[in-house]
Amino acid sequence: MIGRAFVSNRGRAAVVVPMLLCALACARTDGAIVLSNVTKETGVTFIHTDGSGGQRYIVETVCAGLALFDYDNDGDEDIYFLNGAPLKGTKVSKPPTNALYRNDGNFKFTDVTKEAGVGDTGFALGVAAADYDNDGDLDIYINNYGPNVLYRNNGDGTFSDVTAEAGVANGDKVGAAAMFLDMDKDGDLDLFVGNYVIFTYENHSPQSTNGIPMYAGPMDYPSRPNDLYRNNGDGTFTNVSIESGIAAHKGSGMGGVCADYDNDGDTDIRILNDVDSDFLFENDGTGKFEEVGLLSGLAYNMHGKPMGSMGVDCGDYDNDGWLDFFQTSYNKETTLLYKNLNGKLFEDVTLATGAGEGTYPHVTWGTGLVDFDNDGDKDIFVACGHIQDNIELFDNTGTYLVENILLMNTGDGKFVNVSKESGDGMKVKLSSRGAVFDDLDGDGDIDAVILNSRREPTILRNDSQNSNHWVRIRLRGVKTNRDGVGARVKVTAGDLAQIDEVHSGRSYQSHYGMCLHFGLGKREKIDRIKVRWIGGGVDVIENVAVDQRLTITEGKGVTP
Amino acid sequence: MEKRGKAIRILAVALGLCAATAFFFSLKLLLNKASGPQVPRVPAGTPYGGTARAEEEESSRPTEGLSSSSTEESGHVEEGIAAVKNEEFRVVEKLIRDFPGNENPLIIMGEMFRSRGDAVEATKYYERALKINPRRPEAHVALSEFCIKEANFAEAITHWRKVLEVQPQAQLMNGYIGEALLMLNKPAEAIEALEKEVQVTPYSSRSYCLIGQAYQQLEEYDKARENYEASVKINPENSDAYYGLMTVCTKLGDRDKAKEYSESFRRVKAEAREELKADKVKYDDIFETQKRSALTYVRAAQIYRLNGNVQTAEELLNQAARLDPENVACLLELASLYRKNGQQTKALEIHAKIRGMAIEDLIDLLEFGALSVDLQQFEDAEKAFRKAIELAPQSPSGYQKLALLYLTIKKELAEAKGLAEKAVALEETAINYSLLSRACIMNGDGAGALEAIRKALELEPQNREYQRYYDLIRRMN
Repeated sequence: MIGRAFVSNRGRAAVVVPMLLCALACARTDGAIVLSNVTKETGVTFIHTDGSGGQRYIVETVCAGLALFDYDNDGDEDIYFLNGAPLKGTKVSKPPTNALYRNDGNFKFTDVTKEAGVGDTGFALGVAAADYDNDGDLDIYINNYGPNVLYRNNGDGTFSDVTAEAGVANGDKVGAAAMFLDMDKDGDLDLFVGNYVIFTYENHSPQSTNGIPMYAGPMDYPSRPNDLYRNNGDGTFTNVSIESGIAAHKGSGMGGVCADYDNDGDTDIRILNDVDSDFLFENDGTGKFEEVGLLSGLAYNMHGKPMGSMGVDCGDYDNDGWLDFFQTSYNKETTLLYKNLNGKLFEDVTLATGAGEGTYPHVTWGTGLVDFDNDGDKDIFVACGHIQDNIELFDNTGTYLVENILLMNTGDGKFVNVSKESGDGMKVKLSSRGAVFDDLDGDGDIDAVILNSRREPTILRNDSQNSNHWVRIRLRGVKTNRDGVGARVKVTAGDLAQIDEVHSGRSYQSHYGMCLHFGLGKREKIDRIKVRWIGGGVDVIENVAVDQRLTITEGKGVTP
Repeated sequence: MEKRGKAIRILAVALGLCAATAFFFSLKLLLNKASGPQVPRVPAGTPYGGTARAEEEESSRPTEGLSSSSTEESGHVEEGIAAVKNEEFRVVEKLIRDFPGNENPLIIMGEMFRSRGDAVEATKYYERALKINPRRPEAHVALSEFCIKEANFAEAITHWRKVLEVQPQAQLMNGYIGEALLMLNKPAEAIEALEKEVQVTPYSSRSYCLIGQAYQQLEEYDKARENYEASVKINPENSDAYYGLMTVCTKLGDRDKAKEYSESFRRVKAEAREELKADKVKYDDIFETQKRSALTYVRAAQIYRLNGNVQTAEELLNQAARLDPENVACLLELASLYRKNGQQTKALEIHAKIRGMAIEDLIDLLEFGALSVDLQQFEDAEKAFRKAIELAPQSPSGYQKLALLYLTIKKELAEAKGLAEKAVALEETAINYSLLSRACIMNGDGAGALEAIRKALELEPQNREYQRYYDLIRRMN
């Protein structure tokens, strides 16, 4: 009897197990996020260089970000890749340049760097795009090691270098994030310029461990304050770092994002520091800032440890009406998710939410709180890759080339690492830095572009199969800045209410998201879209159809 | 004080308190080291030999303001370090060949690879050692370190639990388990483990701080606050605890206290950062490599010596002393070897060298005292033992040795009795009771002597010496 029962149970198990596996697989297929690697098909031939020639200068490790923005106003997002430049001791036959790729649709891109005139040969680290002169097209600011560059968009597919006349070269510093914001609500965009440590060839600090050469860290160099430029409204800027309060705080700036974290109607500044306390500059509404990182709970992780902070994004991951921050860090640290409790205090909820899952062994960089599956909550993408190209030689628990990480929001305030099940795009093993996200092919879901150190980029097409709805909103400022940078949008569809803001500069020293994309799940109608413009003006639109691209113009509502 | 601390740390490592045990609590520090300033600070053109020459040691010590900045010079440094590492590997490889079936050489090889960041090779040797003797805590602790680096917290916990199976009272293990459980978001289980840690290490500021963090994760802010307060009471420089206090006081609405703690946090954090920066500047990759190799040689020498190969032990110890001239553990081992070989003068020279380094080390003082007794230099011996008592007043060794000295030379007999009593008070062992008994006899206290030897016999009933002595005193009384 025992034998028979055993056989019988085994037989039953043999049937049940495949059924369960099938059910699980089906569930995955239905709701899974699938990101396909389409890099080779896109026509993008850009190869990143970090300027290295064996000296191991610290700047090589932190290079670089990239941007997704619509430079030619044709309605799709183009790609601007940043590049390094040969550092002292490095010989090249042809200097590498940044590269602009025009989106021709259907995941085809054309290199238009030369004709656009944006092939800066500086050592580029950070970038932001914004219409700083409110003339109807997006300009580019590049934060370099060395003088920075402002390219004004001429509106005809070409750009002009207006750095000198605008007064934003920012000296010979090592750059980091660049962000535009309207800090004083005067209708034009001001410029925050992040600075990394004080590095020169003269103070270069060669390092080794166990006789193996390695890159130095930020603590080997003096820190320095960031810079803030007020837009004078006439194409020029004035450095207001001291009077704004920004210059009072030295750090080792990395990624940043500007956002109204306390819902008081003005834009605040979040800038991370590498192995130091991260800053949160609270705006008093007039462009004067107070650094409140420590008291708000955002300076350190939950244990009071400074992180090797890299990139940051903000978004309302739990749809409670407050913008939260997600940020990346060094290896042997997890990424961090800070829940915004009430606009004053944040709580590190990484462990409780699973938002650090899989990240501990890796150095993490570009990131985005992005709704990849259009289910109405924000998932998290994390770009990974060690700074030490020879890490295996002195710590073979780590690797230089590594897969990126995708954390899916399960809708109940938790995240699950779905990297292994999310398509071949998540199996690419490179050393990633900047990462940007937008709907590149206009099919209603968010794709991704990742800059990889010393290699080709990775371009990921979102091939998730689901029937979820979405809406994509472009803002047009009239009294306020033309792209609505800093404007807050609230989309309500049935039981789902989501907020987002337009940011210029985010992730790891990168730029994306001038259009706001909201996943709506199965909801077939949007009840209400509310736009709060910088300065307090409000537009409300009701009964909006899903699955469409909208332009909302300040004071006019939906416009063609 | 700093040198003394350094000496004690080096000694602890050499005594087999594996450096790996410190990895988790100070994980951040280690990682900063790994990613941070590892500056080879050797003047350009400094000759560098694989098995470094003693006369050149001074020039390879950290030199402020100098750094090897050219690729060519870096190449020399790399080659020099590679030579030290190759020689170290050769020595351990031979050790393994000389003692097949013995797990200790395998553990030394594992430790060598671990210190080089080669987890793959290290794991192979630790696992081989564990096959021979599954109860080796160092191997489990080292393997747990690799698990942690790969975020495999659950497996790391398994290793620490294995250590506890072998040594239920082992310090730190429950602390590690608690911290890993926090990383696994299991705060309630973490508290359970950390409270066990507090039982074996009652003065662990770190453990109380972690308990505070666990309660904070559970949103039990009053309990979190209590534990954070206990943590800073033990260590007023614990920045993590101040951060926790700042956070929970904010949660509890006590804004004034939160502000006060935030100021303490800022102060302590800034000081710690400056210290860390200073450490980074001082870091010397060549010397650190030599120090690690020296440690390997000391361990290898101990194995050879224990197995009767004094000559090889001496060679290795001399090699270690050349690589790391200030390695007190190495010098003591060498002095002890000379003393037992009857080479008292050589032993004395080494103790003089330790003294010259302005290092105060308990074992050095005790050994030097014993050597002075051998040489009938009683005044030197007396001074050394007194210094040992001053250095480690909670250790019975100094009291015991000084009492024995006075009884031997029949001096300060009353004090000798007091010293023996103190040794007994600190450690109730048969040997201490036997010493007290002898001191009582010498002071004419027959009843005391009988009582003390009776206790010694109670502790070691099979000891014939004590039995004979007991019978004798009883007859005398």
